Amino acid sequence: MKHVVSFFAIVILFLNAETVFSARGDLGDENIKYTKHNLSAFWPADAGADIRTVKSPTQTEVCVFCHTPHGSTLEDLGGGVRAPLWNRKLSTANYFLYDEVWSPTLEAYRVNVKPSVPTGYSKLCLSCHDGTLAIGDVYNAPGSGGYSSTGQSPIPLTGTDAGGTMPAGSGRYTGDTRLIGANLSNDHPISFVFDMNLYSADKEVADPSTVVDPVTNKTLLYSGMSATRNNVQCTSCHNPHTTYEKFLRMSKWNLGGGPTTKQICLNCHNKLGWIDSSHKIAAKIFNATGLPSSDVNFAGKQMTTVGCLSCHDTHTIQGAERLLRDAVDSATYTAGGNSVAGSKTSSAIENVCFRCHSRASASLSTPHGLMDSNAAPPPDIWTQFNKTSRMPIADTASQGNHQPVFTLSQPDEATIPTGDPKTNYEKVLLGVVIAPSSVYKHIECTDCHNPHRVTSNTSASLSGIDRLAGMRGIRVDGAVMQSVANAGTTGTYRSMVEISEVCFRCHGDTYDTFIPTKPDSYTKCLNQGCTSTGSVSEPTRTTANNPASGNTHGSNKRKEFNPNTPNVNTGQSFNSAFHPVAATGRNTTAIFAPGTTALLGGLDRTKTINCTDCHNTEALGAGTFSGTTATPTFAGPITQSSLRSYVEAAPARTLSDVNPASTHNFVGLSTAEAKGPHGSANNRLLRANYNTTLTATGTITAANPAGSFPFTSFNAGNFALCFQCHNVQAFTDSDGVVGGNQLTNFRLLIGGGFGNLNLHAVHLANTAFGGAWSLGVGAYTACANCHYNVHSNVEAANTEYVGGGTLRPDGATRLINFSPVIQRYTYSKPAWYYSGGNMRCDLRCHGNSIMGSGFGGGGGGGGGFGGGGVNAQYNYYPNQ
Amino acid sequence: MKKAKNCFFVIAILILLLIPITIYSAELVWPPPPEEAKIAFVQSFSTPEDLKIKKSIFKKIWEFIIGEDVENRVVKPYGVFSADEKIYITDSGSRRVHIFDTNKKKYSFIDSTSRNMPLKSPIGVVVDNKGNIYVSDSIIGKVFVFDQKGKMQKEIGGEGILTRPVGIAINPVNNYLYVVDTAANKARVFSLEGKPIFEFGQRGKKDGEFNFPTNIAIDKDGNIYICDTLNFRIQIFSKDGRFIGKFGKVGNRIGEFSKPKGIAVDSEGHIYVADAMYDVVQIFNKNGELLLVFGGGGSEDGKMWLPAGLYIDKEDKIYLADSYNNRAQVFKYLKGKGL
Repeated sequence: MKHVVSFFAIVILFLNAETVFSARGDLGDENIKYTKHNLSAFWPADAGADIRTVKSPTQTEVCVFCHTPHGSTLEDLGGGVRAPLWNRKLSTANYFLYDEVWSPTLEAYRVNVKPSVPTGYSKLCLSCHDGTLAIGDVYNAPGSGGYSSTGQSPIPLTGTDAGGTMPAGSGRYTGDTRLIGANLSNDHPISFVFDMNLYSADKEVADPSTVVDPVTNKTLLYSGMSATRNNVQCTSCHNPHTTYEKFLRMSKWNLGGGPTTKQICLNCHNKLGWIDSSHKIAAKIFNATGLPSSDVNFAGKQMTTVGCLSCHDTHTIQGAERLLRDAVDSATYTAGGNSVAGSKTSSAIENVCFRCHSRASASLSTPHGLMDSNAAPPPDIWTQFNKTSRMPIADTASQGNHQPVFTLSQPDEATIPTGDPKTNYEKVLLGVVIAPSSVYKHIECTDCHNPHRVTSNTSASLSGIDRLAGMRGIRVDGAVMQSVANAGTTGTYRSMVEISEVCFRCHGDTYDTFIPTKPDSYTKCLNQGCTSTGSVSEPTRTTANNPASGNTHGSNKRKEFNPNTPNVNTGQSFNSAFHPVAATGRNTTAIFAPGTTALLGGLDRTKTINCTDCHNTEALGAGTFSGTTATPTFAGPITQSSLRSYVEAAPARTLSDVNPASTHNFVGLSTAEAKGPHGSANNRLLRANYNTTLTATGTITAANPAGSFPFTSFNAGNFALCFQCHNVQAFTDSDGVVGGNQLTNFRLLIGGGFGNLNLHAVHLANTAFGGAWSLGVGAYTACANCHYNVHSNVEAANTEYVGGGTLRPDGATRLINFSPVIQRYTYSKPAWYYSGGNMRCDLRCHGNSIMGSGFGGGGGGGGGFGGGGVNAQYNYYPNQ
Repeated sequence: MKKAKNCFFVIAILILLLIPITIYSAELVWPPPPEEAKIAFVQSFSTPEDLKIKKSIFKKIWEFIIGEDVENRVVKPYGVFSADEKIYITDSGSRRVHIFDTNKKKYSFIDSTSRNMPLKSPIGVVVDNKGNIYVSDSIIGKVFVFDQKGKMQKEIGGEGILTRPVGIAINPVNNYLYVVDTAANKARVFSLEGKPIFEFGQRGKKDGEFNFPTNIAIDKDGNIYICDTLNFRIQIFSKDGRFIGKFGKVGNRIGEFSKPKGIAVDSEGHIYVADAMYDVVQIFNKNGELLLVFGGGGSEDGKMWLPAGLYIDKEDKIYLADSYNNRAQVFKYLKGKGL
C-alpha cells in the first residue's frame, strides 16, 4: 500500500511537473517562463540555478514587468483615483504607454519628439536594456543611428561640413552612414519607417509587405510615431517571449532557403547577387579555437552557415561602421569588443576583411587568420598591404582616417526596371559623398571590391570568376560603367566591369586629388646634385608639366590609355602609342602578327592586356633571369577577364573577347598570397622588377647633365617586367631574327655583309655582332631612357616628334618618349621623326655621341666621351 | 505737474528694469497656473556651450592644428550629481563622466581608469566633501574613486564583492558609501576607503527584499531611499538597513509605477521618482501620497524621454538625466507652503 501511494505520488508529481524544455527552444517556441525575461522575484538570480526546474506559485507575475496592468481602483480610499495633493485639478488619471502613443485625445505625448528617439515597442525594450536592469546596453536610434544637436537626422559625417550629409531619401533609411566616432555603440537602426518609399529608394531591401514572421505570418513592422504599422522596431527581429537563441524571431544562422531556415537578416535585406557570391556559398570553416570572444560560436562552422554574421554584427563594437564586425583599427581595438574610449578615428573597414584574408599573427591585436585551419585558406591579402609598395590602406599616419575614397550615395547595385530612364544612375559620380581632400588620400577594400557580389569560383551562376563583380567603374572614355547582373555587354551596363575601369576610379581624372605627386626633380639634381642617399633622389620619374593631363603634377591613366586622347606633343587628334589595355595597340607591323614570337603567352597585335598584368603582387613569381636569358614563370598576360578588349566599331563601342581564356595563366596560378595589385615587394606595385635608373648614381652635374650610363652590364633581371611578355631575344639577338622570325623593327640594314643590326641589342646589351657595335665600353642603357613612360606618349615632356621631318605616315609613335636626362641636339628637344624612308633620332646622350662617325649622316663626333650629339637613322617599317 | 508725473513714471520703469530678477518661465512650472507653482524648469543642456562654458582660445588653436577632439556632449546620460557648482553626469553612451564646472566655466571628463582601461558602463556618481568622485561601472562591477583631476585613487568592489553596482550615495550621518547592487538584489555599504561594512537585502517581494533595485537617495537625516524597480516600489531604510517603510505599485494610474529609476529627496523630505516608461517625475511624501507629477513624453524643455537618474542638491535644484533626449535638465523645487 505504502508503495502504491508513493508510486501514485510520484506519478502525480511527475504529471504536475512542468515539462522540461531545452534552454534553447526551437524557432517560434514561446515560453517566457524559461527565458531571462522572467524577472519574477521568486526566480533565482541569473547566476547558477537551473531555471527550468524551479516551480513558483506566482509564475503568472512574469507578464507585469513589460505589460503594465491598468491600475486597480479597489484599493483607492473612497474609490476613484486620488488626485495629486499639489494639483487637485489634474484631470488625466492614466499614463499612456508605448503602444498607445497615437491616441488623438492624449496630451502631447509623441509630437515634438526628436526624430532620433526610439518609439513604440523599442522604447519598452530600451527602458530595461540600459546597462542596469539588463546588461546588454544598446543605443538604438532611427535613421542614421545617431543624434544631432538640432535634433535633426541624418547626422553630418564627422570631418565634413554640412555638405557631407547624405541626400535625403537614401542613406537616411538604410543606415548606410553612421556617425563616425567612438561615442555611440553601433546598433542596428530602429524606429524608422520602412514603407514603399524606402523600398523604391533603396532597392536592396525586401518589399515591406513581405516582412512577416515566418511562423505566424504576421507583419514584423510596428507602430512608431504614429499608429501606422510600418516601423522597424526591436521587435522586428526579437520576440521577447521566445526561448529561441537571443530571442530572435528567425534563424540566427543560414540553414537553408526556407522562411524558417534562412538567416534573419535576409528577411529584410535583399542584396542583389548575394546568393551567388563566394562569401555567401563558401564552405570554408572558421577555426575551432582562437576565435575572438564575440565569435566563439562560429567555431567549426562554414562561412555559408555563419552568413552575414561573418562580417556584420547587428550590435557591433563601438566605433565600427556599417555594422561591421571588429572593424576598428588596431590602435583602438581591445579584446572583448570595446574600442578605446574617446577615440575618434577608430573605424577601419579593412580589418573585417583581414579577419579571414590573413594568417594568424601574435603581434596583431585585431582578429586575424580566423580560417587558417582550412586546407586552402582564403588568400592572404594582409601580407600584401605590408610590402614595399602597396595600396595605401595600412598607412594611416598621414591619411588620418580609414575612410574609403568613395562612399556610395546610392546602392552599388540596381535592378533596373523596364522603362527606367537610367540617367539617374549615370550621373552619380561613383557615389562620391565626401568631397576628396587631403584627408581622404586613403582607400579601403570597398573602393575596388564589392564583398556582397564577389565570385571566385567558376561555378557561380551569374558571372563566373569576377572579383570585381558589382563594382562601378569609369570607362576609358569617361562614362560611368555599372556592373549589373544579367545585363548585356554594351552601353553603360554590363555583367562585368573591366579591370581598368575599376582602376580609373582613382587613376584617372581624380589622380590629382588622390595620388600624391612624386617629388623627384631633374632640375633639383642639376642644382643640388643627385645621389642615391642624398636629399635629392635620382630623377627616375617625373611627369611635371604634362600638357595632356591638364594639371601640374600627376598623370591621368584614363587619358593615357584612351585611344582617342589627342596628343598635344605631336598635334595628332588621337593617341598614337599606348600599351593595349583599353584597345588594341598602334603597332600593327609584321613583328606582332599572330603566330610570331616577338610576344609571349599568346599575345599579338589583335589582343589586349590588363592593368593587373603588370601591376600585381611579386608573389606570382617573375622567373629566372641571368644575363641575356629570361625565363618568365608565367609568360604573357596573367589576369583573366572575359572583357579584355573592345573594338571601336562606330557608332557604338562593343566589347568582345579577343583574348581567349586558353591563353590566360591566371587560373593556373596557385599561391597562398592573394593575387592582385594590393602590394608588391617591387616598386610601383609591379609584379616583376623594372629598373628605371636613368644614369649612374651621382653622375649628373651641370657640366654633364646627362650623367653616365646607368649600367655596366646587361642583366635581363633589370627589366624582368617587360620580358614577361616581350621576348628577350628581341633585345639581345644580334640581328633580331630568331627561328626565321624578325622580332624587332628597331634595326638598321647595314652593308658590308653584316645584314640587320639590332639596335635594341646595341643600346641595351652590347650583343650586336659580338659587341662590335656598342655604345661604348661599359655603356648599357635602360629601357626607360627612350621609353620613359610605357603607358602612352600623350604625356611625353621631353620629345619632339617632328624635328627635321614629319610624323610617321602611319601616325604611330611607338612609345618613344625620352627621359629627362636625354639632351636635345639640333632641335628644341631630343627628336624622333620620319625623314622620308627612315626614322631618325636627333639627340645627345650622356653628353657625348652615341656611336662612331658617319652613321646616318649629319653631325656626330667620333667615339668616346665629350663632343656633340648625333642624328642617327634606322629603317622604317610601316604598319600593315 | 504732468511733466513731473511722466518723468517719475519713466524713472520708475527704468529702475525696475535695472533690478535683476529671476523670472521662471510662466509656461514651465508645475502645477500649471492657477495652482501655486511648486516646480519650475531652469535649463536643459547637452554641451559645455549650453552652460556658457566656451572653449579656450588655446584649445581652439590646438584643435586647429591636430584636428578636432572628440565631441564633448552628453549622449545617453544615466547618473547625475551636483556640488560646489559642478555638475557631474555619467554617460553610458559616450562611456565617460562629464564634469561641468559652472563657476570656473570649465569642462572636463573622465573616461578611463589609471591603467588606461576605459570605463565600460558608468552609471552612478557621487562626490564626497573632499572632492573625490565615486563612479560605479555596472559592467566592470566596481566603484572607482577619482580625484578632481581625473586620476583614479582606488577601486571598490570586484568579484564576489559587487556584481552590478548601479546607484550610489554617501550618507552624511555616518559617512558611508551605499551601493545598490542590482544583480545581487542587495544594498552594500562601504567606508569611503572601500572597506565593506555591511549589506542588506535579498531577492524577494517582502519588506526589505528587492527585485532588481536600481537607484538610491539619502536624506539629511541619513535615511535610505531605494528604488526597488521591478517590485515597482520605493523602500525606506534607516542608515543601518532597518526597514522603515515602502510605497508604490505597478500600474498605469497616476502615482503608480512602470519603470521607476531615478530617485531623489528634497530639503523638505519629498521623494521624487523618475519613471522611464511614463516619462514623468512623480513626487510623493513620506507616507507615499502622490503630491505632483511633472514632465511628460517629448523633447522640448520640461519634457523627457526615458529619464534615468535624479539628484537634488542643497538649494533644491533638481537634476535629471534625460537619456534619450541626450541631455540633462535642471528644475527647481520652489519652497513655500509645502505639504
